[in-house]
Amino acid sequence: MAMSCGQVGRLSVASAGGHATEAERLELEAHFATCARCTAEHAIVLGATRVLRSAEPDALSSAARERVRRAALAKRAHAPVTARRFGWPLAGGAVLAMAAAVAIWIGIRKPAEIAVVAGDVLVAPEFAAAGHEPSGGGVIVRSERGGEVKLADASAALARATELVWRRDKRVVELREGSLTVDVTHRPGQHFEVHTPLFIVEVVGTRFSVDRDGVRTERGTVRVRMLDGRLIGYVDGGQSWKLTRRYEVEGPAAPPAETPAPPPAPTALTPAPAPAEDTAAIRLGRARRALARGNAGEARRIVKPLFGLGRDVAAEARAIYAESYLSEGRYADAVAGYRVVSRDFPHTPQAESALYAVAQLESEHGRPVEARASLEAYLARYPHGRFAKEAADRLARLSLPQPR
Amino acid sequence: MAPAATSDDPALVAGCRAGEATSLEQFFVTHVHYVERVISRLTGPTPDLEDLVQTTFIQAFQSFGRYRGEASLKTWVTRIAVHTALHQLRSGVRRAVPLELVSDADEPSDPTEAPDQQAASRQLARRLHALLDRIAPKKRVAFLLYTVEEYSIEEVAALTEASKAATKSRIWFARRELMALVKGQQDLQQLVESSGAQSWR
Repeated sequence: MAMSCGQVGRLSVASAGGHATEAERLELEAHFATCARCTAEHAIVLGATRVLRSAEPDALSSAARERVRRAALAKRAHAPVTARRFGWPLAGGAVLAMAAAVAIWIGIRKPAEIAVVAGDVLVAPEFAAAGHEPSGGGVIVRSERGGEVKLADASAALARATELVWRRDKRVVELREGSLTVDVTHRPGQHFEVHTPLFIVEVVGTRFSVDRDGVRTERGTVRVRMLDGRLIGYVDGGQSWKLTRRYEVEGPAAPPAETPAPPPAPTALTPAPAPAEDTAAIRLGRARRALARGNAGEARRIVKPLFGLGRDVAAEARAIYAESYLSEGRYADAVAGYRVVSRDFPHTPQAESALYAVAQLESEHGRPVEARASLEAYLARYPHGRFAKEAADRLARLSLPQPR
Repeated sequence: MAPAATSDDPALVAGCRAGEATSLEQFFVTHVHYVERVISRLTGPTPDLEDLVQTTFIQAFQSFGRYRGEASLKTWVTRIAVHTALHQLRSGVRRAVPLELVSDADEPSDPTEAPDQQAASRQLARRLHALLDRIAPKKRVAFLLYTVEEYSIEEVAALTEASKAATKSRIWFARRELMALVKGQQDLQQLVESSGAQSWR
């Protein structure tokens, strides 16, 4: 019996997915010989499937994969399921103990939520202009000549003449003047935002620079929103975004504070012209993509000319350079590269990662003495650093007597 | 689905259940590439790939206590990856407004293909993913698992925790919606049809 067009449609999808039998394919062919519409539709299904299947799926770079591995292992469930009959009392006790630990941790941690790491940085509680009453629990951070601060688990490098308000409870930075580069690890359920007078930058995961005109993402991704919360878009690593139209907030005829500047419509936002630092950011992005494709040599070739540029760019370029050797399994070269980052750019977020990478590589590749020294150096320099716990654990393991 | 005998190393499974770092690392190394591929295929190009892969493995590592060995480790982790991708697609925030940003052209990834051909293929795939964004995530995922990843109806049903009837219906509706969306863009329709004609004939 001849098949209906509906039956052919179902069989067409099965055929596109490679699930049709030879007999079914013959039936399809017979129907197509007499039905131009089904023939055209089958070509669309087949074509779409083919295009989607042949498109190379995205893959993580070796460094990203390593980050994922570490994060997943750090959060693994340590306790196997045993002794079920004691399950509930134990679980209750564990919950109470955890609650107590969290309470203690919060109590201990709160005062250390802001810390000056380097440079000329002044920190003062925020007061309302008129009554000297604390307004919103914020802290004003100001740097005339540039510096670096820790804001909870984020590192922020402040440019010259930068002023911001840090609202710890909301994990929000309100940028008043200047610019800052933030390095923060994204954690599900925990956000970090930078508010400017015209837009909001929200961390999806990573390292980015913000001024009042735009944002440049060096690693990972940020989300840019209007002040009313509407999404403008995403800015990936190596990309920049700027407002093309300057609103009155910075001009001499600034509107009064209670009159908000008009929100920028998405259509008004277009790519910024590419000044020197955008060019550098583009090159860094290109190098990262080359690295992700496994083309380490190409990544090195791209970043080399950036070594002589400003601190942030040069540090990132050097970090990519070192990472390229790591991706090739050239561990000695990677260690040398990371040492350069750690030594020559001590006040950048890359320095911390680099120093820990050195220690990690040394400990994993049979250099326990050097690894111990590097881990001790890391813990001395970053006692509350991002890898402090892992470094302490690794150091403890290295200090155990090794089996002969 | 009936429990299937798995070919996974029992020592590895036991080690993973016990939360042993070496076993978990081996599990990670074995499956990470496949997990990346599945998520990337289901969501299309996304800046959140690292987060999604990380979420998948964190979930897996934390759930090994509940792994009963009825499916292979690969199937089990794929199910978690599919859930992660579905959750991401449902959240709907990922691709709301693509920005035209300061960016260099992507470099070619397949040296055997001419650069202009590669660019055209990539562009075509992006356009199709943009259309798939307009199809409900459950239908989209079932369709892609069935046609692109070539899982059987039973496997798709198991991976998405749906009945076979629901799975068939989702695939069918996704096909119908995709067809209508492609037909709405004449130039795209021609390009897709010509790709289909090439592979069919």
